[in-house]
Amino acid sequence: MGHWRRQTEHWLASEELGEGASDDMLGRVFAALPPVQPSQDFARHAVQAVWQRRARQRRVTAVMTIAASVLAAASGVLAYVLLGGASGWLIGSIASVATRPAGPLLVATATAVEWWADLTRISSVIAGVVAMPQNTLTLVGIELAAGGALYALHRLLRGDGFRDPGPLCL
Amino acid sequence: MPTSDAELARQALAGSQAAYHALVERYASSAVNIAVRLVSDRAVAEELAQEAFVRAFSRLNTYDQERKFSSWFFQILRNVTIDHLRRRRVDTVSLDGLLSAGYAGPADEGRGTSPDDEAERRALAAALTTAISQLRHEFREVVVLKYVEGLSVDDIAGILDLPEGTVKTHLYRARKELAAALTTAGWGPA
Repeated sequence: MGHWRRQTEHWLASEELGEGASDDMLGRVFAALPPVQPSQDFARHAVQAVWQRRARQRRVTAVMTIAASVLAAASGVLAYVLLGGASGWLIGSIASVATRPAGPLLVATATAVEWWADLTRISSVIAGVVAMPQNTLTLVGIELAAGGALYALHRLLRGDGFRDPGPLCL
Repeated sequence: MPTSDAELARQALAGSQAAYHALVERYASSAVNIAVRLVSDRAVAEELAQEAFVRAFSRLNTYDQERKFSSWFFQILRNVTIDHLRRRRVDTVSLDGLLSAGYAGPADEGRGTSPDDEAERRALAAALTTAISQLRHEFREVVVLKYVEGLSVDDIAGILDLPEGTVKTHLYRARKELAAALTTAGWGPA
């Protein structure tokens, strides 16, 4: 009888009797399974993949930040043209938000979204007064596009680690 | 004195590729070993292990340095593996895949074992592989973490987010099922 059969039989007998040592014995039986070694370049490839994904995320964040800022600024200007001075403060807010660095931008974006919601209500009232359906339609379209852009930026920044993502969940 | 995992993680978070490379090297073997025994394929196991390292890096800012890095990382690896199995909608692994992936291991040359002993080891490895592949996923996880990686019940409970009592129960039942499978395969006392 060979070494491995002896080990296995000892474990099985111990398991049958419910002995505490059976746990250790099974560990010795598992020694028959040799470790599977990762390929030689595994660590280098893994680190490369990490840094490539990190660089891609940074590029996407930068592009989205610029795109959202441009769209928000453009929609502010258009809103100003359509509604007159009522949205002047909004343009100032958006310009201020767009020029801040990425970290505080998140907080400012959240505030801007709230202001945008307020402005939507004001705009509805003004649009009702102006009573020009084509202007109202354009304005709503612009608001939706800008709101979407700001929301997308908010989600993107959140996903990029600017906020604590909370407990580990995958 | 080797740099601690927590220190390497801190340096990696600060942007050190070398530090993260060191961490990956430290856990690559364990990660691939665990993954290859939970899925059917060695190539897939390496992909899953790599994905786990990528995910771990992106969540490195949530790593609590008071905790063992290995437990935290194995939890991520486990979730990556479960995601993969869910995508494939399988709960059992393909024995053919494991055996063709060299699960029974290469010939154990150079350890001074006789050819008979080596043949017996390979036969036992194949029988054990069959038995493990027939376990329920929950049992397979605890068996791999306990007997392949040699982790404590406490660590396994942390990784699987289960009470220690549940881990012990899973281990107990898994051992009984392994014993039954090996006895059926002719490894029991004559």
